[in-house]
Amino acid sequence: MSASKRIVKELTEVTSNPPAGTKVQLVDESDVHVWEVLLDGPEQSVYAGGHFKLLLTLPKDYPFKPPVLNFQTKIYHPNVSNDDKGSMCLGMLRSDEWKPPNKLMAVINMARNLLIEPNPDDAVETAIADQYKSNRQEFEKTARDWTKKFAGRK
Amino acid sequence: MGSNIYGLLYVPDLTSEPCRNASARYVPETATRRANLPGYNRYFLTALVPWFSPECMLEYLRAADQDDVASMITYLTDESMNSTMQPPPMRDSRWDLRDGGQWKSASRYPVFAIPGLTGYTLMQQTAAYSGNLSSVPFGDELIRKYPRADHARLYAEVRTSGNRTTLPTLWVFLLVVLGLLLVVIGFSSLVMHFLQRRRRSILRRRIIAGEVDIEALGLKRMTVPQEVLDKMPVYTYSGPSVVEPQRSDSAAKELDNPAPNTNTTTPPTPTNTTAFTQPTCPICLDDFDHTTQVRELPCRHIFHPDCVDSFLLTLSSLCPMCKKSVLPPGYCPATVTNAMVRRERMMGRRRAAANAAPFSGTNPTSALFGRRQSQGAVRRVSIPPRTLNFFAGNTGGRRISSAPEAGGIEMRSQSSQPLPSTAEGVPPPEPPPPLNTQRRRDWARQRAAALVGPRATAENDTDAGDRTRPKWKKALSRIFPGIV
Repeated sequence: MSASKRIVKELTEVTSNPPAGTKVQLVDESDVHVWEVLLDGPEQSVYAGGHFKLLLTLPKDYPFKPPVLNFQTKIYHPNVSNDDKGSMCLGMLRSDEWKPPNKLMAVINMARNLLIEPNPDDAVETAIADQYKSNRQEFEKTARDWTKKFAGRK
Repeated sequence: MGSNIYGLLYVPDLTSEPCRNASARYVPETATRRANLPGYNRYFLTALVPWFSPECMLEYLRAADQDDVASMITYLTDESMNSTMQPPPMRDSRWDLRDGGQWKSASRYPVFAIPGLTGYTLMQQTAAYSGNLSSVPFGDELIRKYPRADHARLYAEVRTSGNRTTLPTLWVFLLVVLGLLLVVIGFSSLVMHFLQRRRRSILRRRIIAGEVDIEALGLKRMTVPQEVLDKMPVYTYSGPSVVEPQRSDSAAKELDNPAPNTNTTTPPTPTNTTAFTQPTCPICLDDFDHTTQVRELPCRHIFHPDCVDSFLLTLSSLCPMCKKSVLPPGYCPATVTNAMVRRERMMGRRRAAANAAPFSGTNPTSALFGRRQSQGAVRRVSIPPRTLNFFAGNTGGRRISSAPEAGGIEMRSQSSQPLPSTAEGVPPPEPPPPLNTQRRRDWARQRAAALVGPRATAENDTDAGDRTRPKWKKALSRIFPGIV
């Protein structure tokens, strides 16, 4: 299948030249459709020092359908759902915005950039988004606390 | 004889003196009695009694019960006696024995009423057939044929089968109600079917007229038929600037349809170079070289035929790059389903609601991404400019840069357009303007309205839902389309 050929190609690219502070590996060597992304909280962000585990699931129709990104580590972020799924779904990850030329490298970079600069205008957690906009200090404090609490250990 | 009731006619004996005296007026001296039926225990008996007083009638009923009759025939002896009219109905007060109607249910045998005159005649006849064989009418002839010890008696048969056909009035009433109900159901079903049919044909006309783009509305997951795909040009990739319009017949490698490859749409010509010249196939991310066959979609995006064909044939009719339909305008699927009609109407309502919603675009990014923010109730993404730059900057190397470049071109072309006035809360006109980008934008907006959830696209539509519905619901929706 051309899909898995492309996925392998992208995987090789990402593993050989990973974006800063990330590490990508397959959860199961035999299934190229489920990636595990280990993301270090960017230094300039409130998530600094945290180690976040993300699951990147590629649908059967990839690259025609967008990948699904889930934070497996709990994170206090307006764009990540605060439940056991921890799903992040915005921008290019939406099925109506997704285009086949988008690459998984870009997806990972987008996730990383959202940690540096959350997008409260397209939030899944509106309460966190409101706090981010109106009471930035409180937001940063909670985000740091959560990072220490849930993403502290390797 | 079936279930008819039959038996030898006789008049039961009364026990009490007053009744015996009273009955003498109605029962002739020589009427056939139990005693006149010697040795006929193997025959069924039918009691014939005059109805002259309640007390005596009860006595008759008891006597007949003791005689173990199969049935009883009675007639009124009062003023209607000379009438041949039907006896009064069962609930008539004249059939009242002052026991609260208990006799009707308590008796072990059926009691039949006959007209008074008939009863009287019958009673007189039993009188004639109570003696020995020689004394009955035509006794002389009977004697010649039968032994003298034999008896000739009257025999009654009550046909009950006729009663079966005339149903009780309650049942008739129920049947009438049921029939009316069926007529009403049938009629409303017809009306609904007719309405649905009309709506379907209207939608079909609108699709053909190009007013509705079914896939952009998420009405149905459309795919591209092979013959439409065959009309899209396939040629050898010849570099980013020059495009040769040579339509190679190598496309026929996967076509079993030898139809002429005449392209009815505008063929790509060197003067009309593609707007999105891509050095890379956006699907497999492989570079095109000068021997590669590429398929060009009407939106001028090019792909490997191997990559894009199966996608268009099985998954979608939209260009993977610009989400523009590759189907010719006015293309209509073979069947317009009720689900499509429903969805289109729902979409129309939602669109109206979205347009009516207050305009909210006051955050700083809305200046740059005003178009995206202008969707009122609909949540849309506005990627911060920094993120965009990041993508562009991080894609070093020719091979990688190619794909985002195409997207970049498109984004630039969109954001450089002046903000359409329709985006500022004014409802967009119903048939989208012919302008290509404008049209695409309208579609995007409609799609956004359709996509409440991030993945609420056409997959969860129509047929998929049909399969999970219970049978009774399917049947109900077959009769009353549009209810469920």
